[in-house]
Amino acid sequence: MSARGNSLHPAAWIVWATCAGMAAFTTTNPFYLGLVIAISWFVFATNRPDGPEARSFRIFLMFAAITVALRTTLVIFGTIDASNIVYAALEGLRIATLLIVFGAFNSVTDPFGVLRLAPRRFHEPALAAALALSIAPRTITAAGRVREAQQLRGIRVTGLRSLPALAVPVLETGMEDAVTLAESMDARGHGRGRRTRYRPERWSGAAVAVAATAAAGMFIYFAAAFTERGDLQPSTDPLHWPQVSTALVLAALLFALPGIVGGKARAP
Amino acid sequence: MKPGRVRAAAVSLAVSAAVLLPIAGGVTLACAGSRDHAALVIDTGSQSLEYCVALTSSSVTGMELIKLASSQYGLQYSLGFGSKAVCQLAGVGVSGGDCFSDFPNFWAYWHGTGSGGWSWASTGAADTSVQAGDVEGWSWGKGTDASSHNAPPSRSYENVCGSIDSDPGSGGSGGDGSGGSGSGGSGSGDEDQGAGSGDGAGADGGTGSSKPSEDSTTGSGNKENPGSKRDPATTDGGGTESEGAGRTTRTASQSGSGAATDRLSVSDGANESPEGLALAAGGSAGTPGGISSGTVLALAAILILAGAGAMAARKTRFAGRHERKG
Repeated sequence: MSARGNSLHPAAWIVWATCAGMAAFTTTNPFYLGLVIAISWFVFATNRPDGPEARSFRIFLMFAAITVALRTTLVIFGTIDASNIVYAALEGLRIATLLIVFGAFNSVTDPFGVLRLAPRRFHEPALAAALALSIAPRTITAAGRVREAQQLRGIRVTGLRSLPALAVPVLETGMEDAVTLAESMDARGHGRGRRTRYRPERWSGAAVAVAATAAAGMFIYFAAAFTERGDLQPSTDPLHWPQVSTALVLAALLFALPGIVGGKARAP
Repeated sequence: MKPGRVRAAAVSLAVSAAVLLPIAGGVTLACAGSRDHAALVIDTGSQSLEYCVALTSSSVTGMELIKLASSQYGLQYSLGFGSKAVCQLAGVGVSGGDCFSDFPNFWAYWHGTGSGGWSWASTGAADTSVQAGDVEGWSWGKGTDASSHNAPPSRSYENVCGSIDSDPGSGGSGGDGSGGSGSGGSGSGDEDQGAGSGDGAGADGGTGSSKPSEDSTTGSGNKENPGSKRDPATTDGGGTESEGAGRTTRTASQSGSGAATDRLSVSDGANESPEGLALAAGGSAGTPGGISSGTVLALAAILILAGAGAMAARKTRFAGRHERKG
């Protein structure tokens, strides 16, 4: 497990990610979505720890791009014209935004810090979730180690053809790592019914501010959706530039607060 | 007669028959009234519009018919849900892409029965096939089936298209004549308006029907027809209208016209509710074809955030490299 700690309480990050995701889900307006994506990047860049967790954000970016591309190509199943292509791309962009928000959240939080928040009753599912959340950085680490080992043995590591030779060792390493991790966590008291509350995370002022602003931002988007304002779902036929409400832009900027007050962890 | 002559006569008879019969047949068909138009009737609740739309192929979808009417007569339209539903016609309806956000009001879709009656359409307009001689109807109002929703005024194909088909020579005057200006959809700021430069001939119904085939000027591409310009007194129950520089702005008349909730009208591509909500459109009303302040703000914010993120990332990347290998 990484020794990183983030100065913000993990629950604050959960609130932030959930609210940003819900706000993004209300709209297919590319300006609002682009804003949330830029904010996620900003928050990630100013809060990211060193290490493989940082690279997992790039993986999420890649998945986001694939999502947009895939959703857009589905247009071939119907009439193909500019309006339909744009409509499909915007729907893809909405999902891509959710992925990027989650990617930022995943990259800046310690999954096991999040795990400690779970009530005792949900410990095991939460543990599974934490392991799942950490699979991206863990796989990246494993891939790096396998690559290095292959290089030392003179095995080809570049190009597309090297990928199959990478897959099996990475999977094996992943399984071994998971077992080792589980055993070590069990030894540390993460096992069934034997959890401790040593050094609980504190809600700092910054964490409260982040949670509050994120919630406010989400409710503003909900209000706009409920009252049909702000061109949240722009029409793509006839094709035109969607309107952008200044109020909704400012509401989106509320989600940028973790980038300003978060900051990387200073050793406690 | 000698056999050779008989043969020659038969051959020449056959040849002339082969040449003349198609022509005769064609003439016959033309005289019977070959149809290459379809009728489109739109009832906004405060006015009724009719268009005799020239079809560009033997069968088009209901949505394509609307777009053809827009390019030929300047009908304003806005579609939603990926061009599968009608949000706005002639300025009436819902702005944005959720066509049912004003439920229980919505645009109901009807097929003409041929004798003037209407039947409730069972599939959406993107999936129906409209052929020459068909009548399509749209009506704005409440009610989820034929018995509860108001139907468009009773119209048959002949009512709308009149004598357009009986004389093929003049068929071009009413049907096509896409007025040069105003095509349905393009990237500029005016596309929602449909007809950018003051084309009023086809689009106003006033109280009754408009017959573009009779009014239009032939030959030139300009459909300008001062005679049938919008008359504010008759269009809708209390709306005011101002025209300027190719833009026609109509403020909504919520009270005057009973059924129709004239939500808003369109000007230069900005859909705006006249209630003047601060959230609605970040100040996009004023500038024709310009960029609204909200858009500028959003783009600026995106650039600043991306740059700040890049700077922060570069700092930590260098720090990270030094600590990576132990």
